[in-house]
This record gives sequence, structure tokens and C-alpha cells, in this order.
Amino acid sequence: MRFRLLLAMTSALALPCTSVSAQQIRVVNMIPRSLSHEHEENSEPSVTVHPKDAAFVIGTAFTIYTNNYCDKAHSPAFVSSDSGEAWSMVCVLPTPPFLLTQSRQPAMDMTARFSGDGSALYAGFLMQDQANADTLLGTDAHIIGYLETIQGNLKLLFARAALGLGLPDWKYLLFRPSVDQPFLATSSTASRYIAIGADDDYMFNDSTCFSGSVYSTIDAFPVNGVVGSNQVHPYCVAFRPSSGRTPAVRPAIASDGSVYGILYRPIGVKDTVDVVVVRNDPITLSVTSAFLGIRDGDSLRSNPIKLNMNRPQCGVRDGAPGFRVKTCALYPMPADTMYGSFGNERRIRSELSIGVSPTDPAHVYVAWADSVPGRVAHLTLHFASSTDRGATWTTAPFSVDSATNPALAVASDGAVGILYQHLASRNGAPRWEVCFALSTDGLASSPTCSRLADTPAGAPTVEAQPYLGDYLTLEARGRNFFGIFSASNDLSHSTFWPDFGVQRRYKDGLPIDLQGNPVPISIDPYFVRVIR
Amino acid sequence: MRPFTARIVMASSMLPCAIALSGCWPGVSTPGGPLPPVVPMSQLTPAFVDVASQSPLIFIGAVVRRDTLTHLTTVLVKCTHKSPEPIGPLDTVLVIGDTLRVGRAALFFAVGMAAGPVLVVREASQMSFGPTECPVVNALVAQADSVSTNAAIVKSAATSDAVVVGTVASTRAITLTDAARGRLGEHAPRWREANVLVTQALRNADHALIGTQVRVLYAAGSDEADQASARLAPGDTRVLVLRWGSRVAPGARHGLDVSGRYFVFNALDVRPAGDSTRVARLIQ
Repeated sequence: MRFRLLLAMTSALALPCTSVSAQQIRVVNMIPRSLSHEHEENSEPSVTVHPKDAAFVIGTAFTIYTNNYCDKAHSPAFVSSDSGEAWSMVCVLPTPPFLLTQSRQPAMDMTARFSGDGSALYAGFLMQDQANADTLLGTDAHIIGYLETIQGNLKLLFARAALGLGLPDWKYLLFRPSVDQPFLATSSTASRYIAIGADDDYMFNDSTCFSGSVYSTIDAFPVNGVVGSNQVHPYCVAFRPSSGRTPAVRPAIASDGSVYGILYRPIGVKDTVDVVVVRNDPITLSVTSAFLGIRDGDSLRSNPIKLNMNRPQCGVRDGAPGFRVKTCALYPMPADTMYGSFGNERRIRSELSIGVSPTDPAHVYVAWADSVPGRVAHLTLHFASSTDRGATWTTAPFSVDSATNPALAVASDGAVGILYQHLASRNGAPRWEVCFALSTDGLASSPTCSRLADTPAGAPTVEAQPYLGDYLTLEARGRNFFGIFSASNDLSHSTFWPDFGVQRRYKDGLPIDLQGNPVPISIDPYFVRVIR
Repeated sequence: MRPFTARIVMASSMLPCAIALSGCWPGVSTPGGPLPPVVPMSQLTPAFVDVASQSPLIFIGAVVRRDTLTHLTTVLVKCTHKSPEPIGPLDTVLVIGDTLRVGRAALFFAVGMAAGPVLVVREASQMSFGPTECPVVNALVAQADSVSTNAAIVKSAATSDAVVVGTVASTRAITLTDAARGRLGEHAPRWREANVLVTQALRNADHALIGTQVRVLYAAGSDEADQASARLAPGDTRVLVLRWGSRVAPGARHGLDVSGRYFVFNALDVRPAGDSTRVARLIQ
């Protein structure tokens, strides 16, 4: 396939391909000049662009080094007011008040999204309390918070925060313990509707779940003022229990209010997962009817039904809620830890993305990764599309070998943007390539990779996981796309998109501090803007 | 007389350092080698300790410009006493707060607000120290940190199950079943177990442990969340603040046999053997 072939021929691949010359792409390293000393892993990035003012952009990433820069009440976000050309890191994301007296790390696993009308900014993140003498929560005190601010002009509020003139007054929508990697989606319409996918370690006492099993969940609710902590029940998606801890969930909200989600469902056979898509219809959001919109086949079984966690017959549809886009996919987990040798990246079954057309809620696109027999440390990206709100699916006739972190977004004209990271090899050395691809035919044919970055995969060495991170994000605004990825900042051994900007200081392609001293290479966040 | 007001009232007497300090002191050297500076211990007040422990940034700087409209003051940093890596040495920062006239210098206690072309910090407090006093302030801040750490040790030990000195005889990885491993979150600890020979008890209640071997769980994963965890290695002799493994939250110990095992978590729980006298004195 052309797509795969291009990626395999990295040494001969020319930048950029002529077929995408109509689009203007810009890539910017987001580390501000005053943080030129920084040499940490800014991984798991997300970005959101204001729907009415594309110059106003918010980004998030792991920024552990700010633990001792911001005060304990705040974690940082990257903020730009000029379409992503210049960035400031602003101590603006709040820390839940009840954690302030405890030792902690900064927010992790963050995603941020503007509401469809631009009146609010929501952030989902994980707070991890370190062991403390008061409660001995150990490392299990995972808290997620969803925040909004509606006071006046958001851009002005962030500008004031960047100048130290005041901080927005955030409101807390939800805290929930013992979850991981919350992933936030907002409606593209004026309604202030949010959905959060998360994996759950413990079963909640909720009628959509069965005790004794582990489920993925999605919190989905309209925001009508402050909801308050623990007032919203998560919905156990699709009544499909997991044979182990259920990995990441990625949600999306369609323009008609339908909420979609894609998840891996570990089944009873080692190293095997189903890839499941669920849908909640706008009028059926209740604990007894949530996420029953898509069935895996034509069965008229009544709900709820308790599914078998053991390996199903892979070729047989079971008629239960939640369509299995891929059944019994191979996805081995490393034996002793959750970290596999995939270009310094861990593999934790989170390589999922889902996008819905902003103008036609029936058009849905998904991406997932799985493995192949005999290649444990390997992932292949696959894609599928639906034109009937997820009732049936067509697998794309192309895949991307040795790749991870897919992010899909759908533009107003129906074009599908794909951002992902590809583990290549050149002269025997591993490389991380970042590709943006544009499909204008609904994934019917293989799109062309615009290679945004080509960096060493073996350097810098891993200080801790996440390295690049378990996800990146891509957002569509009108016909344009805005994304973010993490990659090495070693310009001396890397090639970035020709239209490329940096703010931090460099000398001979290597980072230096403000006094001109060498700074170790590290993982930085990069903003990408695709104007069509 | 110093021409500006410090928020923290300081005595004028300059007493010798009462606590032994070792190491080199920037800017201070003698023909016989570097000596610790004379530290004004009277200035190590509870207020100083408190503001020092709460302030991520502590530096001596001189005001080079004031903007009366925005109230932002540009300060040229002379020396940093506490500055989170990798922020590192600074040239200029914008300071919001009750700052000084142009040309004046002070010791600033600050927290970060933003980092763009320059750093923007909010002044939490300031004291009247000048650039020539960088070594003295270094010593003061180090001692303030020591006082804060002492308080944290006391607090941690108060809820512990044993406080001992022990030598690590061996360590081993813990192999979990597939099912248990599958239940662990990506940020949950990856535990190892150490066999520790207890040589000293730092509390009377723990004397029965002397001469015994205890099993101690510690987190040793590569996740960012584990980076602050205390690690143990064979041959290490450490002061250990121990808690029973059953007190680890269930979600962080799926599949782990915690019966009869202690755990340690962070740097407060595992301290150098040389700290045993200090810890014993603190917790008695």
C-alpha cells in the first residue's frame, strides 16, 4: 500500500509531498525562552483552539519540573495568543483544594478542551497523591477534576494570569478516585456538553455495571452550573466487562449530542483485546439506558445482559451493546512491567482515537493499534469508518506499520486529519517520525504522510515513563487542523517541517540555557497548525 | 541603616552557625580551603523557615526597572538560593509585589506565575540582604530546609509502625500473576521487596525488632509517579520509617502479598544511616 510503502521508505522519502502542498503547515516548539534550562519529558500532550478565536490556544503536557515553580495550588498550561507562534507556560490550572496540604506531584494525564461556544474551558487531569502521613493513600489517590471558567473573556483572563495579575476562578465539576488517564471531549455545538473517558479500577455501585468485573466508563453530562464532586455517575460502557484492568477510553461528541466512545476490552485470553465502539443517543442518557445505541450485530437481546469475559467466537457477532470494530485483536503486554521496548515508549493499550464529523453526526472515524504474532514490541495502526452512526463499519484499506498515538479529527468539509507517530529505522538506528495525513475520501484510500518531525528514538534516554506519552491530540476548527505532539529537541540530529519555529535557545542545533551553557536534550511539546 | 522594609523582622546580631555545616560555599574561600560563612542564626526565625519552605524561588536580586502602570518590576538576579531545576540560573525576572526602588537589592521569596520570554514571579516576601551576602543566605536557606525536614520526619514517624536502622541484605523483584498485573494502573507502583537486618531501634517500642530480618516493600517502577520513591539496594544501611504493607491503598497493591511486610515510600521514609541520631532525637 502506498501509505505503508512511503513510511517504510523513510530514507528516500522527500519532505513534504506535493499532494499536500495546498495546505500550509507550521510546527512550533512550545518551550518558552525563559525555560531554556528545561530538560524534562514533556509528554502526553493535548491542545485546544478557541472556537471563535483561533489565535487563542491552550496546550498541556507533563511538566513535572514545575512542581517547584508554580505554587502548590496550581499546575501549568501552555498558552498562546497568536495562533501558536509564541508560547508561555502559565501556572493557571488549579489543584483541588483538599490536596493542598498533602505532598503531591503536578497534574498528570491532562487534556483540555474549549466548549463549543468558547465560553468555557474544561480540563481533565490526574492528581496523584504521594504517600502521606495523614491518610496513607499511597499512590492510589487518583483524582480527576473537570473545571470550567465562564467569567468574562477567557483570553483576557489567561493574559492576566500570564502577567501575574490574577488567576481565573475555576469551578470543580467532578472528582473521582481510582481512575486513570481521563480523556476529555466537548461538543462542537453551542451546547456545553462534555464527555470523559476513563478506565476504572474498581466497580462503582451503579446499575449500569455488574459487580465483580471491571469496566471502562464514560462520564457524559451537560454542564448546567457546578455539578459538584461525585455527583455524576460514570456509565459502564456497553455492558462489556473486562478480564483485567480496562485500558483507556476515548470519547467524542457529535453535533446532535450523541456521545461516542472507543475502548480496548481485554478478554479472557492472554494478550487479546476487542476494540469496541459505543454510542449514547442524546435522549437516552440515564443509568439504565446509557450507551446502548450501537449493537454488535442484529440480535434483539434485551438489556442488560451479562457478557462472558472469556474469549468469544471471534467471527460471531453477539448482538450486545457496543460494536466490536475488531474482535480478538492481538495486543501483548510486556511480561514484567507495562513498558515495552517500542522506541522508548511504553505500550499500555491506549492507542485509540475517534472523530465525528462536525456537520454530519452519522460519519464516524476510528483508529486503533494492535500487534502481530511473534513481534511483541510492535504496533500497527488501523482505521475504520462508519456512515450510519456506528451501526456498521468499514475497515480502511491501509494500515501503518510500527506506529502509535493516533489522533483523528474531522474538518467542516468532511476531511479527516490523522496525526500519529511512526517508529522508523535509518542505518540501523530507530527514529520517531511524526506524520500528519489528510484523507478527503473518508479513509477510502491511503492518505499521504506529511512528515512533521524526524527525530532520534534512542535519545534522549528514558528518565521515566511516559516518554513521548500515551497520546497526542488533533482538533479541527472549520477546515483547519491544530495538533500537538512530543518529540526530541535535538535539532542537530533531527529534521522538522521546513516551516518550523523555536523559542528556547539553541547553539549548533543543541539546546543551551540563557547564559549559553549546554542543556541536555529532552522531550519537548510541539504545536502543529494546518491551514487549508 | 537599610533603606527598605523587610516583611520579616530580623535581628541585627550575627551569630556563628550553631549547626555543623559541611561542603563548599560559593564565593567564600580562604587559603586553607572554603569555610562556611558566618550565619546569622537569629534570623532563622519560624517565619523565615515558613516562608522559605513555601517559596519555590529564593534569590537575591537588584531592581533594574519598575513599570508604574503594570506594577511589574524587572529584577536582575544576583544569586539563587532555591530554584527548581531546570529553571537554573536566571538573568532577569519580572516580579509582582511590594518591590523596591530601582537600584536597590533584596532577598526575594517568590512563586512562579508564568514563563514566557522572561519569568514572571509573584513576590511572597522579601528581606534586606544584598548581593555580597549570597553565602550567608545560602546557609540560612539550607538550615531552614533542615528545620522543615525535621518537622516532616516527626510528622511521618508519628503515624509509622516502626522506626529502625537496618542493612539491606537482599532485594528481589515481585512477580505478579497476569491477572494481578492486568489490574494495575499505569501509574501504580511496581513493587520490589528488600530483606533488611535491623541493627537499631530508634523508638523504645521497636526494640524487639533488633536482630531480626524484616521484609520491606518499596516502589521501583519507571513511571514518573515512582521517581520520588525511595529505593533500596543490597548493602545499604538506612534509617527506615516503616509502615505495614496492608496500609497501602488496595488499588496500588493488586496481587501483592503484604502480610508481615512493611513498606517505605519516599525520602522521608528512607534516610541515610548518619541521620539516625538526628531522627532518634526528633522522635523520642
